[in-house]
Amino acid sequence: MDCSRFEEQLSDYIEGTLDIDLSLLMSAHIDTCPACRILHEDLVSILSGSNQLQEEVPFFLRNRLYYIPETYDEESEPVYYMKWAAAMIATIILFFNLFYFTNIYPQANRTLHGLVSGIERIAVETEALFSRFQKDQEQIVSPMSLNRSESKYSEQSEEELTSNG
Amino acid sequence: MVRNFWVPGVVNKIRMEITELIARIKSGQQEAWNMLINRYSKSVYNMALNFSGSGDEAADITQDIFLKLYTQLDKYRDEYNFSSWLMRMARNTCIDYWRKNKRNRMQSELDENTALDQASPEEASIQGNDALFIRGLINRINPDLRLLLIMRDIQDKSYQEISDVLDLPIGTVKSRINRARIRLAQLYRQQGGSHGLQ
Repeated sequence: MDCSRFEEQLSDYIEGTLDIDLSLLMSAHIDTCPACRILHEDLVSILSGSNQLQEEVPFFLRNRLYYIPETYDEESEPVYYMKWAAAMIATIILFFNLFYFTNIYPQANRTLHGLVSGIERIAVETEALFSRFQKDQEQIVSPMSLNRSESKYSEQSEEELTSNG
Repeated sequence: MVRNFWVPGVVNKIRMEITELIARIKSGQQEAWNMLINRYSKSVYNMALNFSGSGDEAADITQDIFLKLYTQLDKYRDEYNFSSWLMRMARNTCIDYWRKNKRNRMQSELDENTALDQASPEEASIQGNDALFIRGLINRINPDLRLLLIMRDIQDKSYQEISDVLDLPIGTVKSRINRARIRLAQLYRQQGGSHGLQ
């Protein structure tokens, strides 16, 4: 048996799952090859105490783990998401401001200014539309108001006439 | 060693218990969650501890794993083996953590003045702390092989269980574990380890 074949079978040999013939060959190789004997001894030595590498869960960690549902459910509440949504909106506004007021990226600056002027134009046109609508309304309403003012005038004149005798 | 876990009746009983436990957790019963933690936290923590080699990192990884578990409980199906499902989640989280901290770790190793949380094998050897010494050596093995070694030799899992967790053929699992053991023994010799874990 050569050393590479010995290495291939080493785990099975240590775990005792090899058939008798192969196991005997492995034992014979250990007796004749010092390097493989050391490898075998070292591995047996390490594995014999590997259970010492198991530790209990620390108290603080166990407590943290118990509280996972509580903390997670709290974080999932709508308020939590709203906070993040508000922060995101604020970040977007700040981000746009940066491009609007500075010329770091000229094309973005131009686009943003074009966008703002477009919004302004819409606002002005809407205002004009409203004022025209108001004027039209006034024109429709004016004959009635005229009649009312006429009647008021006539009432006044009647009073004046009676007072004068 | 006879593993009762693989007797079909026992497996079915465990599955039923787990299904019931998960249903109770989903309905908001804190007690059921605590029972799950008591049952599985030790194996998850020890996987993280021996993988990272540091108690603090292991605590963070364990917390991440159980947080993932809590958020993904809806994805669990009755036909799954819960232990394998959890261990797969633990394995993936460990590997992700290792990838994320790879650069930081390399930086720390280069910086001689950085106080490492974990003891290097040499330091541990001088201190005579065998467990730390071996843990330091395990930490130097390739992460995939390291996890195999942890599951087999520290957590005492069967080849079949490991094969289920990693979704690999048993033959591949066996040969990789053998490779990991030989690497560990070589590192042990290089570090002058003549004191085993007796």
